[in-house]
Amino acid sequence: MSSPQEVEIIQRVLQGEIEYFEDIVKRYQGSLFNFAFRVTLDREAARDITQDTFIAAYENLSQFKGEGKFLSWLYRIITNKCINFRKRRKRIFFQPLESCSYGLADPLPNPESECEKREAVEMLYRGMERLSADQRAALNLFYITGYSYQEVGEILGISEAKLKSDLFRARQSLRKYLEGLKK
Amino acid sequence: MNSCTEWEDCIQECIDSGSALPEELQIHIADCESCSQAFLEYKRIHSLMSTLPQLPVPADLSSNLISKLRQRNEVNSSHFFWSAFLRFRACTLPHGLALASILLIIGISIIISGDRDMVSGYSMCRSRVVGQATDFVFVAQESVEALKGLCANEYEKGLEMINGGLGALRGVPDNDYVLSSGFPALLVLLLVIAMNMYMCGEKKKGGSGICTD
Repeated sequence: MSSPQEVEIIQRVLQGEIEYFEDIVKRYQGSLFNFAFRVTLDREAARDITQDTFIAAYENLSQFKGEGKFLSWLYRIITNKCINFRKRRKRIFFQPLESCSYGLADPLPNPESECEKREAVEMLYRGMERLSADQRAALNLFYITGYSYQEVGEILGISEAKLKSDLFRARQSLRKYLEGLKK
Repeated sequence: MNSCTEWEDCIQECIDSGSALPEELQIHIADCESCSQAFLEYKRIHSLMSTLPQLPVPADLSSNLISKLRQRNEVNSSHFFWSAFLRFRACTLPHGLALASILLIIGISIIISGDRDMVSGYSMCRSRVVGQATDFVFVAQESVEALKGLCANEYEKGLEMINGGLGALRGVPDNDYVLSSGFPALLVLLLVIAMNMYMCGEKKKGGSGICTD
């Protein structure tokens, strides 16, 4: 269920008080933008998709029945947009480590561990690049939201068994890629 | 006895749920180097995925978005009639066909009455036609009001009013009848549009998702 505060904000937006929608944007833009980035692996595209998601949510707000979580509804919209984007653009060029900090703005106490962490993150992203858009969406949705298999399955519109299978294959593919790098 | 692939599945589920490995699996991992390796690697992937750094949100994301939404609102309000029409069109195809038929009737009425004007040279008393049509609209409005709060004893009253409206129409001279038929047709058209817009709005409120722009 959506929180009472969310319901009130949605009601106000539906009554035409657009400034309340800003609260929704500020509250969820971080989660949605990061999710979009991890699925598209493209910062610009992630920004555009996040904006499009909020616009779509605003225009279809009256269709949100308030039965599920509002954030889940937003994730459902953004997931479709990300998958469609990836289907349109089959191959992307991954940004090299030097030009992409992956948000590691705060330096870790130990420069060596920071470097290791950056390297591990980059390897993980490179591994993710080899997954299908559906697998990447499932994997990231599961880890970003912390939702149960059932909830993630509902967002993606797939069964719990299919989600488990997608997660299994995605992680197996990541493991093989990461192990291959070590050899 | 499970195969290594089956154990791999179990390892992933245990890591996801944060629960301890079953004893049987622990024994297997101790003996199987491949599964032991897989267990460590999945734990590492799980830890990395759970702690992936958050990218900072682009500064212009929310400001651009709100200004875009405001612009859209302005455009929508300035094109209210058009968007309402589009919604109407999306809602009901059969009514769209009805609308087209009514428009056709109006068009034919106007053409025929124009021809009559030219052939007979009869100068129509347009002010009287407009007056009759206004009466009809007035009576129809009253009828709709009466039907809104419809109950058994008011039904007769509603019927009387409609009959009154029809009577008023019959009073229009023959030559004017064709032209004046355009007015009731127009009224019916407006009522259909209003009804559909209302129904469309109700459906949207109910969240049926039928009405999409």
